[in-house]
Amino acid sequence: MDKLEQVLFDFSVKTFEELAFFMPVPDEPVDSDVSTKMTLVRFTGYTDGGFYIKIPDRALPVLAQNILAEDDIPMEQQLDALKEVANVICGNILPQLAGKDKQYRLSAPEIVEDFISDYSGSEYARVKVQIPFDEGLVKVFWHYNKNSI
Amino acid sequence: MSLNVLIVDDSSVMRAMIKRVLNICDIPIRNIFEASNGQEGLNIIDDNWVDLILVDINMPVMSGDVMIDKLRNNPDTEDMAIVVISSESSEATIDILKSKGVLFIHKPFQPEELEQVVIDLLGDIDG
Repeated sequence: MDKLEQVLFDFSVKTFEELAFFMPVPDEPVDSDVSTKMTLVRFTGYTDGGFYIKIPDRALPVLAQNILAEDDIPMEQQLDALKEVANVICGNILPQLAGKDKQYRLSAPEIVEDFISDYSGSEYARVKVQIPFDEGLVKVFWHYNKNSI
Repeated sequence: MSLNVLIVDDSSVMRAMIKRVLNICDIPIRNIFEASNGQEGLNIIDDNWVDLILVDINMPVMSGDVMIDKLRNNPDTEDMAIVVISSESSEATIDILKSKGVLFIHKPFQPEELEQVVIDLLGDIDG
């Protein structure tokens, strides 16, 4: 892993552990053909880009239940839990790009079907990590404009 | 003294989580109001007595920093106790917020951290 991948991995693990009690497991779960949900946090400021988390459907209710300490959480709030995790990770890792003295503005997290085209151009660098949890394989993607770094 | 607390966060999950933390901490609470953005928060303050505001920064409609500015610029609300709870990590942004007389809690946070900040801000609170 390079430095940014390590930062992304470490802070993602920390946030999933502290907010949702998801503990990483050593063996990567089989991940073929699982249905997933994905959230996006867009950011602007010193640099712009998008931060994504993709999580298996089956992990979503567990994530929300663990955060809220309640059972039978409606789907809207399950998705809200995923959005909040993304918001926390994104806000924390952005200073790693250019230093803590730089300012960024995060948009409200949204649920997306796929990666959006805004951050697919050659000016955008892509960092990706995968985190194996008991609840399934979580994938985290960080696309940022490398020209402004 | 029991507190009326206003939680302003666009995430219903984070509001629920903060509420849960307040209820398990040793802080006497009378009412907890909730708002999903700064404007809703200001509307609640217009109609209710609020002792403590726990506010996020990045929110649609009205952000937390704009809400704080409006409170600080109003003689009726300029001294309100405000704690920002945010994942914001830019030291420049956090310094600007602190210069407005607010305390800052970084997400993710531990329940004890919120309890301590509230006690620091409001002094000894007797149930």
